[in-house]
Amino acid sequence: MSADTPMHSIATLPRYDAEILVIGSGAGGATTAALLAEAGFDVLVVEEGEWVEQGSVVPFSLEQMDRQYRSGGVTVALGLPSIAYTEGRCAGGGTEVNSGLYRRPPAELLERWRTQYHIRDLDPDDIYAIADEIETAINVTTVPGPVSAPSAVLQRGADALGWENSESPRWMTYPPGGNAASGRRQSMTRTYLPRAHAAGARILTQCRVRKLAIDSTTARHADVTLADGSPARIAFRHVFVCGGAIHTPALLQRSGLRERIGDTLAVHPTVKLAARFRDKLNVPDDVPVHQVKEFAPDISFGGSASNPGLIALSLADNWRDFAHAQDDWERVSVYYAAITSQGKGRVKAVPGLRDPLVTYHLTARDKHLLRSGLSRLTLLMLAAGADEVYPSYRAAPVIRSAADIALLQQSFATTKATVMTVHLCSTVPLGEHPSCAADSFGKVRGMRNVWVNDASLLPEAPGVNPQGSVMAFAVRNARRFIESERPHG
Amino acid sequence: MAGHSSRALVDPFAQRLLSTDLPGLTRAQRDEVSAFAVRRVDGLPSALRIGVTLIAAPMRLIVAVPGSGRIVSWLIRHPLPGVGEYVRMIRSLAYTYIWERWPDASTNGTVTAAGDSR
Repeated sequence: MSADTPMHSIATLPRYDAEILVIGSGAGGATTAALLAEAGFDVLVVEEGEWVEQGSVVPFSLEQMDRQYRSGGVTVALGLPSIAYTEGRCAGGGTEVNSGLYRRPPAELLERWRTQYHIRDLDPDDIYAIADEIETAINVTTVPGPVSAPSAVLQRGADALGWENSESPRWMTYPPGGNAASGRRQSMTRTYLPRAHAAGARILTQCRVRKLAIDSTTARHADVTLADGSPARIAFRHVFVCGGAIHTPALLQRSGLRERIGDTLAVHPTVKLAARFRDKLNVPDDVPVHQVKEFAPDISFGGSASNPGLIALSLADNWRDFAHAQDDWERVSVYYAAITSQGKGRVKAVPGLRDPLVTYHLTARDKHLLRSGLSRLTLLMLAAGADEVYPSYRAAPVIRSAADIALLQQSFATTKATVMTVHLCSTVPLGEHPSCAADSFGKVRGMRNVWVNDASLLPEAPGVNPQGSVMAFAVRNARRFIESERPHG
Repeated sequence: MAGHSSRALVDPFAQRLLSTDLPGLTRAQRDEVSAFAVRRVDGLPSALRIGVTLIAAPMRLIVAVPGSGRIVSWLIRHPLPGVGEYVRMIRSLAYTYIWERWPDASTNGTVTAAGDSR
């Protein structure tokens, strides 16, 4: 930990009570904390995970999963099939561990959300003006010079097929003369959390909020467990719950708020494959920046982390037939097909259990899209020059030519596949529609001082990397709060 | 639940799976990989861990029966509902650990001295 790390231990934090308590320090919580602190509010941020300096763990490694992911990265939404998902659990939340790819929410999607969910004062132009600010604050930029070899695969394959593709910008800084390998992630611990701290916000890590004590329509305090295991109580005037789409609804439910909360989990399910090429291309500690959007928003293609352990993971279901690719791991990289799902999931806090039960149900359309997505992704890999393609489902064939794709289409079933997601949304959707659990600016229905300001609020999974949408809504809602609750003095 | 290690339930099955899948691993390497899988199972979210325990317990009993080797090998190779997901989880954890820890391990798990990344 560097000397200027804005993290406080139990011993150094003088007091816990705050005018504003922000629970969670990811894309929603960090931006909320920074804006409210800069507006003069007395802000305390509590974060369940630890503060991990960038560079102190290898990206996408098991050590990173131990220190910065919830449950070591082994979390599952139960269903047929179950869907493996990952969540950040550290200062900065998912922004510390994700791909760092950035996309604005599409304007037509915002317009549809406004009308379908009756979201007041949701103007795409306003959201895009906020996006401009965010993109400056976190330095959204493209790679200087050539992209990495695994990224070029996506570009080359899509170009060969005439499919739309583009480089997705990332929140990165690059040194003068830098290249694809020299980027430095501009996550929340580098941007909005230091801003919050500079404006007077206090940040308490390794502090788990067990529940909010609610008296009729007002939350009075939070019961928390500190890093040393001791209990504590934090009183506040307003609370912003920003624990992510799984733990925000779970905390609200544990606190007695259940109506319409946690019933509408939305995700982008993905299926994967590994592909082997003639030349070495593997980049173990980074992900490709190109995405193929020819079939968007229904289906999108991109690249995944591909260190040797993660390649073994993608080959493990058919080790007898696929294992030879592991010997060649430097010539192998992993890719995904992601879909916009019409399925829905649930998050349910279960009395007596620390963690919620998470379930997800794919529709017949979703399953069709996953099959179609994996087939087209395989074609994309072959068009890019792959020698062999290894789809990640049990009893999958090795694909060596376009003719083999028929075998994939015959043998694929989602129940045999490793379905995963990293995008979780929509468990406390905002809007004035009766189905929405929060109002148009994130205040929980029926509550006077409980707000949500994270991915839970997005009415649907947006079909693009959601972090830009999460941050834009968080800034919008924080500003509305500031207008209505100006601090005294 | 969080205070109890699942080692007694998970380790014997993980050892058997690794012996079957990757005979090139040494006993010490199997122990290390199995310990990693046990740690991850111990850290599972509560509801998931209960589900895993419900499957791991009968699997542990089967592994303990003398002469059950063929049955266990069959279960490892044939993905029955529920049991198959447990096998898949332990295998996924193990393989991920092995090839991150020893990137140049051969496909039967044999690690040469040069391939040990430690």
